[in-house]
Amino acid sequence: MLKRAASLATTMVMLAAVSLSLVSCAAYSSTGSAAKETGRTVLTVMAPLHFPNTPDAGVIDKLEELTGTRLSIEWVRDEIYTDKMNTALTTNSLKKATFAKYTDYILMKNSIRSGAFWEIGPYLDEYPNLRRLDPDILKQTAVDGEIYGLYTERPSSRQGIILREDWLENLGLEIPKTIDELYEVMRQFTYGDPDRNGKDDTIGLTDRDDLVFGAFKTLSSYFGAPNDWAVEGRSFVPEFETKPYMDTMNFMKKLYDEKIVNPDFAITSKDVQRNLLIRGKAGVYIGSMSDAQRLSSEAKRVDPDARFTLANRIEGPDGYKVWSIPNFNGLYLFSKTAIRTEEELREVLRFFDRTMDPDVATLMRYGIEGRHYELEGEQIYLPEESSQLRVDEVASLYTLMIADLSNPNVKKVVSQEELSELADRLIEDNEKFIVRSPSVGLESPYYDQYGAELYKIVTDATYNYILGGLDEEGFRKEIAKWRANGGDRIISEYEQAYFR
Amino acid sequence: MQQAIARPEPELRSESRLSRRLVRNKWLYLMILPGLLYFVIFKYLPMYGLIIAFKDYKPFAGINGSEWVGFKHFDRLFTESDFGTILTNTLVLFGLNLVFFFPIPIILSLMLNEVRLTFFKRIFQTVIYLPHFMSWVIIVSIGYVMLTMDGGIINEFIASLGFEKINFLLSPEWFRPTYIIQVIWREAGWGTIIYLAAIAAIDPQLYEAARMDGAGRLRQIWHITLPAIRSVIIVLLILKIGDVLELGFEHVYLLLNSMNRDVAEIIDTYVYTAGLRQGQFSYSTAVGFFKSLVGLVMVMIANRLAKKMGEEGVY
Repeated sequence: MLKRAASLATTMVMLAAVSLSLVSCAAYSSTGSAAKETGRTVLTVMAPLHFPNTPDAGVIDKLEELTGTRLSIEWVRDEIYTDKMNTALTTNSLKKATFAKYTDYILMKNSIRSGAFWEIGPYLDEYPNLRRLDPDILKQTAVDGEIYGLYTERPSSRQGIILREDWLENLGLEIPKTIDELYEVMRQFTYGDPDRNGKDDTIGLTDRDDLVFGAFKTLSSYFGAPNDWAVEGRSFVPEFETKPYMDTMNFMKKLYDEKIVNPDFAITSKDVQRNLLIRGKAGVYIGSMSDAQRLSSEAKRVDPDARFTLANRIEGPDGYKVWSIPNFNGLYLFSKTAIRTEEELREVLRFFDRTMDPDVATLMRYGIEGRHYELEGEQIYLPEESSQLRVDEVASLYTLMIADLSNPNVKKVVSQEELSELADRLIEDNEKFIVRSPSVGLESPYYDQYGAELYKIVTDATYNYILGGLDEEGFRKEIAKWRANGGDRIISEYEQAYFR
Repeated sequence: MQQAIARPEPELRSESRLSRRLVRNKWLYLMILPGLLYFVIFKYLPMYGLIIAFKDYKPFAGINGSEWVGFKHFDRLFTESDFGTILTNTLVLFGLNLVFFFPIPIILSLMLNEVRLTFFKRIFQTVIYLPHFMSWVIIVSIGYVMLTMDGGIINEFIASLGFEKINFLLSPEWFRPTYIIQVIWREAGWGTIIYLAAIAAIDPQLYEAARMDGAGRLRQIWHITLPAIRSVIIVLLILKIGDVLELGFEHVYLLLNSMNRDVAEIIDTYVYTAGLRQGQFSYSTAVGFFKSLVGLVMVMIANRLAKKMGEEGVY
């Protein structure tokens, strides 16, 4: 229930925050030279934290200096980001720039329509870097044709398989190339004593309570499932009504029944899932290949002999396939409650424009020269020794970088850690057989409002089927319920938008 | 002189009598002021927000700027296909609470009262209070670690006895037992406080007299202790019934998953998952409003019953 007291409390909290930030400004200016501090705009930001540490104060100081701002960034752990953002939205206490993940973007659309955010489209041309943003991607992010956010970019698909190389060698197996081989690897990882300790204490796959970013959706790509929707003739078919989806469920069911996957995967958190791999209990992790380097270095602390490798080409009935996210991974939105005037908005945009310049971009991406990276001519060299330092002090700042992939000002890397390099190469390779979602950039108002709630029916049914709580008949009934409760309406709205 | 001021004068109008009383007892009134303020600010003012149950609330437009929509959200709630399940689940959990949880603090405090060694009694009391200070997150996590199929102690034990492992966490049948056991574990000790206080207030002469008449321990409990704390029990029972639908959102939400949703989704979790997470504030408010009304009706019924049975009730 929304309470008036809540808004009162928020006001008080905000007052406290304001006074705090004043205090901290005061503290800063007493340490720095006072003359330089005056006139710097304070920029408040809310962003998700994907790493254990927030960026190092030294890096932030440098960033503030280069951009001529005072940054007050609220880092929220990624796991709870959606809730936090929602609360901020509800209580009207958004920061000047608030990050919205693309998966949560539909939640924001309702607020955007009610006028809570600045429309920034008309301002972009005033800035040397922002004017060069990709018009296609901007169009995908648009709401009712208007642009509200600055997008962050991620590779279209980082999905792939991370697996224990030393276990493969112990069992005399090859890196899997087909679904059957993948199954065989996971089975032998479970029953073949891959760690050679004489005990039956390993499982093949470690998975978590996420049908999208966990193993399921990637596996379904291998089986040939569409990404969200299949366009057949003149109609939209939801992925969960397709045969490949059913095949994937049967595959997962087999893994579950044969105890190849962790039995509690339906309620396993990402931390627990990662831990199973790190502790050497499980040998296969299906998800973002970019995680491989961190997983590997953490696993080496438990077992120095642990070695990992990656696989991205798993051939299914339709050849190679992998699903992709939209071209943007999230957006920075600019709240009208936090930014009162056009002048202020321009200052905030100036900051983001500045982050795309070479000096600032290099700082945000790679850190400080000499400490986090070395320069080799015009290129960046990332020494293995400072790897941990980069993770601890710089890596989390990446979230703040907008449109970095297509930004020519971001310097290239000469060489980096072996696994990271392999991951980058395979992620690039993924581009060749990507399956895009046909609904990206289409609008369905009903989906925006009820889509996520309805999707719960599908998620529940899928888990129930895999764990044996539902048979095929029962699953179809649940899907029929999804259609009846509003799925049909979503489909027809998408069809109208697509075939317009 | 002072006598004259203190004596109430019957012919004065009630208004000035009130103001005179206020002046005379100003310190006492000043002392209840914080309490009053608390209720006004945190209980009465927020009620203003209830009107968004009848509007299409948009945070940016504010409460006044949003559109009126009448009973639209209530219509949606009552026609929702899951409404029946959610209400049933809520009532079943409430029933379990009443039947299994409610008597336990009473029994515990009777037992504690019979412990002779004060030292042992104190230790025991402290130990059973402790879980109350742990958050649900911790308790559910401990439960998870104990019950998981993946090396949980209980499942390992079951397996070592040669039985099939039980998937406690992911099966609809085990949700309710898990829930109620965790509630008992956390709250039973804490619940004894009020009963122990009531028991301590019983006149020891009654026990002496009973012993003279040759009553044993059980007889004393039955004829002295229990009747003496009867009114406390009834008041707590009524209050408990008022909390019908306060089953501990956090607790249920933490236990909830795709597999047990059919039995575990209660009104509170529904408000959260369907309403707040989706940004449907008006709908959530409507659901919450409905819940409070049910609670109010239950309290009134319980109170009436208590009065019929010759007890005092809460109002």
